[in-house]
Amino acid sequence: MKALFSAATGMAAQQIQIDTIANNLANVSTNGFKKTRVAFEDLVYENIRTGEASADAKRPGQLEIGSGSRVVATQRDFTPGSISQTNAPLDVAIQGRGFFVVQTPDGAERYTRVGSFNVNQDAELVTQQGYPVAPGIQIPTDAEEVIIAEDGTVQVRYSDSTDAVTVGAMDVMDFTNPNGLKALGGNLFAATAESGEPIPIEAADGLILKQGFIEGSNVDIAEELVNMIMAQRSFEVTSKAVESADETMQIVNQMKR
Amino acid sequence: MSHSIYPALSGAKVVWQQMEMVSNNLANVTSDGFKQHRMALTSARVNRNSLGNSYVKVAETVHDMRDGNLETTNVDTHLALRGRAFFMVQGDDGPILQRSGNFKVNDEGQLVNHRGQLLLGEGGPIEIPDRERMVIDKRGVVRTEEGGEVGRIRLVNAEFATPMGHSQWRADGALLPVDDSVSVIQGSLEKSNVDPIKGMVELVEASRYFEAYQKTMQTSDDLDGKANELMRSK
Repeated sequence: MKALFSAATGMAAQQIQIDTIANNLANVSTNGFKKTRVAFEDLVYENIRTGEASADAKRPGQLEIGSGSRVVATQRDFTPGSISQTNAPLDVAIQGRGFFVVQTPDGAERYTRVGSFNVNQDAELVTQQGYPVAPGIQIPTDAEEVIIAEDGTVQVRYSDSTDAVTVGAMDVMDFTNPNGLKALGGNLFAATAESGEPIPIEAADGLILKQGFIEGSNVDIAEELVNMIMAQRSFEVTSKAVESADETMQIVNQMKR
Repeated sequence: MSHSIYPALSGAKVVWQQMEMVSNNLANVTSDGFKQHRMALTSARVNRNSLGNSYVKVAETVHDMRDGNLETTNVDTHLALRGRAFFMVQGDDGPILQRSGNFKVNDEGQLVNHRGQLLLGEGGPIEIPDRERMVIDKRGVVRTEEGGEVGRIRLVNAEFATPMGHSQWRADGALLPVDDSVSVIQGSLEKSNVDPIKGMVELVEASRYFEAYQKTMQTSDDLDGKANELMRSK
């Protein structure tokens, strides 16, 4: 009966793979989206006979049969997405590592790669969802031009002057293990014990912000399609194993007439 | 009683185990670093009569340790091995071998596997300072992007290795040094080396063998039945 269940675990794992690919493909044009990859591993082995090397046998005659596979983890791939020019003054892309910090209404700090900002009715710099960008930056409504420097400093210039006035600086944080961040949807991430505490990064740490640019999704359609074909075929091949095991059991049932 | 039913039964049992093994191989067709298994069969002659009935049994499961295909992921912490070697990670009860190179960095900057076990270097765990990018060369030497050496990944070979699940292996017998042909490839993962075509053929084969054994057992039973009828018709 083991053959049936081993093959079924393979089918279940491939199903999760297809679910993940579908989500990646659905987000192929989501700004700042980071693709997820599924990792599989083999399950425990039943040791029918443990090998013991004896004097006359050079190799231990072990006999073990595995019980299938499972999904061990989904890993988010934080490789940068393609950066495209929008010329919008409040679009900012992070080149390299780092996350913008946003304040959600429940008071928690969340992290995002999407630097597509707006100004709300209180003249605050906010994300598309309306969450203020930390540490809280006011853009005066009468400002003619907003200048965001590579180090995150935000300056405004009024129409009656040629000099820019600094109004604040964006917080940009990095994590020792970004893969450990918890995805909350809406392109937001939360820090966890696994990701470690947020670490502020500055120009000295290699922080480069690009105003007028936006980071796209890092999903590669060709790669996802290849993975989908692989998953589908793997599903098929394990379903054949189920069929074979079933046929064999049928033969067993026919033995007693 | 006809004796042929027992050799056929031993054959059917072995074929059934083979089918279980192939199913496990096929279920792991996408598991990173998985090595396909096969069975070595042997005949065991038990009866000392002139018919020389022999029985078949599994001598051992053999692991096909050939390299799996590479998948380029461009993730710095993904490492693939070429040649006969294992990575070593720190388990609860001592070091464990693993072939899968799907590593990540933990909250302390150390390289760990997906179970959170530390990857062992020649001088203890590998730690990347200050979230720097790391560069790993063919020999497993880990450097920061500026070129400062932070350690060397410990690669070992085992005389006998037994799979434990979780893509990990237990070393039975001595640990051996790896030879010079072994290399580490950064930014890639080693896929499973299961050959699905071969697996399918093995399934068909096992299925048909099983049928043949069943027919043999049935024929043997028929003969016994006929013998019984002889007695009755007397």
